[in-house]
Amino acid sequence: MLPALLNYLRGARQTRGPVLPDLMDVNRGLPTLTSSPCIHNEGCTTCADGCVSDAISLSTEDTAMVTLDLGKCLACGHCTHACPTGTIAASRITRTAVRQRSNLVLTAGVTSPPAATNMREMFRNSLVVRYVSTGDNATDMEVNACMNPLFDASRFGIQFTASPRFADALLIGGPVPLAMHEPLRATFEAMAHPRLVIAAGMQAVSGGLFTGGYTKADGVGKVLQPDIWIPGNPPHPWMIIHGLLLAMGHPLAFANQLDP
Amino acid sequence: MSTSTAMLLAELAVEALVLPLLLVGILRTLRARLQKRTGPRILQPFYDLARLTRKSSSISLETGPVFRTAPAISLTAYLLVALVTPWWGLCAPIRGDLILVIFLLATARMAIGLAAMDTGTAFGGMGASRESMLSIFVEPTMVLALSAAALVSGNLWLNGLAKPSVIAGGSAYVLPLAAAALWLAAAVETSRMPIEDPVTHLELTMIHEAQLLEYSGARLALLEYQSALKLTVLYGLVAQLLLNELVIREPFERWVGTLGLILCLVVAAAILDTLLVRLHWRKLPDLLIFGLAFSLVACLLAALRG
Amino acid sequence: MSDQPSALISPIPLENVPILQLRARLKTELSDGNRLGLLTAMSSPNGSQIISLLVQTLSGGVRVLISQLPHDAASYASLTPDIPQAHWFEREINDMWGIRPLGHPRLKSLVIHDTYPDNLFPLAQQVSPALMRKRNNRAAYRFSVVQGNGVYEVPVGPVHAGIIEPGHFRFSCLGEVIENLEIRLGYVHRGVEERLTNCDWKAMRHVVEAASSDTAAANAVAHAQAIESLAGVQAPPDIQRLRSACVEIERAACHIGDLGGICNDLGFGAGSAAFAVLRGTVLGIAEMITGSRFMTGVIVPLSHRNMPAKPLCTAAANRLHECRKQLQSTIPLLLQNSSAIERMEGMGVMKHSLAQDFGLVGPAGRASGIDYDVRKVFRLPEYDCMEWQTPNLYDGDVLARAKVRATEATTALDLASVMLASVTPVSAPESVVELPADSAGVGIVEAWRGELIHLILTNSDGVVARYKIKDPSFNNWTALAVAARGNLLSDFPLCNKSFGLSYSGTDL
Repeated sequence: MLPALLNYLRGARQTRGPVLPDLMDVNRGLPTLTSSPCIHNEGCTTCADGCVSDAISLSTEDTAMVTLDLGKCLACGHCTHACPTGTIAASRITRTAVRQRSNLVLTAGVTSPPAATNMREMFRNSLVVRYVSTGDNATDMEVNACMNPLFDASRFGIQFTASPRFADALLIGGPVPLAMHEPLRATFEAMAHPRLVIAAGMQAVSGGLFTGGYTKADGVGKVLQPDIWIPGNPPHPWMIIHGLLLAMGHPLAFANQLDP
Repeated sequence: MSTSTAMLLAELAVEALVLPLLLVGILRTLRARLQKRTGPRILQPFYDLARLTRKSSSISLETGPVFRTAPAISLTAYLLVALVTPWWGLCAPIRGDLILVIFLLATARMAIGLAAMDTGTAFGGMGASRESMLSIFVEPTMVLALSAAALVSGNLWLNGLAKPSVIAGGSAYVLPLAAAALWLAAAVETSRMPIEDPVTHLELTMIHEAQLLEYSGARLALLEYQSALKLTVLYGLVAQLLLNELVIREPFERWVGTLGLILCLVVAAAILDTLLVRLHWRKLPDLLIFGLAFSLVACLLAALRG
Repeated sequence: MSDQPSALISPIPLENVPILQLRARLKTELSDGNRLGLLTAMSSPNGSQIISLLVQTLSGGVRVLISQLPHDAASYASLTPDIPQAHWFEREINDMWGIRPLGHPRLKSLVIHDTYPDNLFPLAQQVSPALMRKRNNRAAYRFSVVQGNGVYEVPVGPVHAGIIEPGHFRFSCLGEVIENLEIRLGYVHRGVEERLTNCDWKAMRHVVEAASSDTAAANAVAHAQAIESLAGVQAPPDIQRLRSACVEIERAACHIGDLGGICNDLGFGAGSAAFAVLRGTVLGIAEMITGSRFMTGVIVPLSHRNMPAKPLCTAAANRLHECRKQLQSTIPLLLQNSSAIERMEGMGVMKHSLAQDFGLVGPAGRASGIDYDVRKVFRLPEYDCMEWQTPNLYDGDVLARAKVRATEATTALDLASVMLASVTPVSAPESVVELPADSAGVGIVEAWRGELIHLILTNSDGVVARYKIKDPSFNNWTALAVAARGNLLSDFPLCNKSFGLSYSGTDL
């Protein structure tokens, strides 16, 4: 025990490196749209054909147009591999959280309008979060990882709490099936004003592959109104931290993210 | 009121308002560093409190006036304790004896316990029952430890602890023993390891925190500040006992010495919080009995010596 | 024996057993060294069928028994009185199919909650919007009541204090002591199995990965195996080796994470930080070879997407070896820490005899003397790469489970390292497979929680008619409820963490 403890105590601090860095090159990341033109008008449907979660829609109304919904994206890497023109490419940024659901829907050449609401000043330096898991335990693990020495969200003033009464933000992972609708609502009702709702991961954003079934697992939006949406399957801890920083209105959250 | 008393009160007010939150900030940052994390800023407790005071309250409809008033009652009790004890190294502005202090601490505990039961939740009742179980050990320990100190200094007024005229040297282990006992009681009162885990927030293992789960907004802010104040005052009292053993009389030296010792106790708390394993609930009496034994021996030694 | 092809490749033998003889038949089968892998139901044109899957633990094979119920029959004689392992399976059949096991000792809903409309049997019928709008008159769930002087109830959940999945625990306590614990799950029932029979076969792999997303790799491997065994084809050995390496990395990462969780529940901050950092390292290696921290989206039937290049595999193997050294110097923080040992010893004891009755699997079973490991029973060739043992302890307490998991994490890092070092990238086309009609395919994997089974049954058109996932947690939940008895309420989190069960894998 003692050698192990000394070994541990001698170890360096593990929280280091830049905040909200891009993911490693080996990571598939999330897809994004580039400026190179789509050739859907020539009959190419490779990306949408292989997308099992209907995250990609194509139209030829004006010019060839591809629309990519990160809120439905499984991050399987099919489209980024298959796209012959490079219109859809992998993006490894972790500043992916947005304040409006529509901003997760990317359309080539269209910049999303700026988010109307500004986050409250009062959470700038301190945010207490209540996490509710609703059926995606990988997201639970990544939320846990946010507080570990490698990511350490506590340095930004973020804490996780046991009681909804203590909480400012309700962070939700998973597709919210029917049996969780009431418990989730009750948790939200127990929170003191002002309160925020954050949907973490594509399952929480849209229900993912479970949407439209008899269990009504259609994401958080059907039960509460999220203020922040975090894509990813599961979202990387940095993406979750970005969502929390965005909720705080933290200056770190506002550099080159998806949300204008 | 003379100018010096006014100055004293002003100084006390600043120390009682700033120091507790600062110490909690230091404790949390240190704990994070020991876990190889950067951790929150030292000023984080101030930010937390500022946020809480700006939030509204969300109160269960099941609760009554006991729940609503308990934070104010218990905070008042602790503020009075801070006013009658020389925890910060100098004489307290109000005279109070050790019985009053014990009474005030019990009042605070009762208010919180009743409020927890008032919520009607399973956890509130569970926390209150656990807390009162522990108080069976804590209260006698405190009474005996403070009595030993009173026997050494020759009067029941706690202020005597910091009066140069009554500080005796060479207490023949009485004061160190009393200090150790008081420190252990403080560990229970402030929910420190190995008695209660202040970090993990698991509803089934909580003792003190389980009583507070229903509070929000400004009331929660009062409770957070109160727990920081409790930590500071109790550590301050432990520091006084040790300083008397070292026979430090000069007010400035005492003041510096007190701050230094409180800081040492905070560092020790951070280390213990990180490295210890929480004791089994059934094993807690085995630990707490030490506090009782120490304070009893201190009392006997002091009586024999006198 | 290792020269023999794995039993899963050959078509899975199907056998018809009359429903009236099923109970007696299973009883004899189970006493002959077989395990009840799973029990479920299925619709057929002539009425419902009860499907039992038997795992031959001695010879490493799988058999499927099909018992036809008479047309329109909505009940059968319960198996649970003779076969305790069937307890939850029969509750599930009752929920999902409306087939009532008569004489079941404790028949309650398992996954379908009171919030669902009446007469909703999701797998027995096409669920229409009209049915979902129907009024709900379901009887409220009734917990077992413990009576007596001073007994009080502590309801916990479904939303828990920690960052864990939702489920309801009803403790009946006498003072601080737990007299009885009833676990109610179903809060994260998302309709996985219904989705699996109604989706494109390319979408299936993503649905199974989400079934219990912390076990994504093992679920994907079981799915691939099941499809392959159904189609009677086999993936190249290098791909199988890479898959097994992924499962081992997942095992290491999850066990290390839970050891950190145990430290956390002990209030031991240093230990939880040390294990969390190690877990991060292992996830980094997973990211290196698959592009995803949870190894999603790469393990597919017959092939492997984005096969890592040889140098990458070698580098990952070396990093795993490094990681193993770090793990070995970290484990003593928990397992040679006398105060931690004192806390874990004798807590949450699961007796061997009960473990056998409940059919415990995985590390929880191995800590109670159940020497059952899918990797050993089915003798996959890639596991012959080195000498290794599965730990087997008899104490059945939290300490034993922690020890088993620590040993398995170390072995898993070794195995993954050796397997990865010998992976040579191959190209295998991801071709569309033709599924034969009226057949069964089985995938069986030792996931980090234990035996994970995927069973696919096709109908006469060669379409998937039933996709059943049996998560290892399904077998172990009852054990947690029993192990908690007699312990203190404040010890339950530790006990729970030592089992480390999946809620979403059970609820599906």
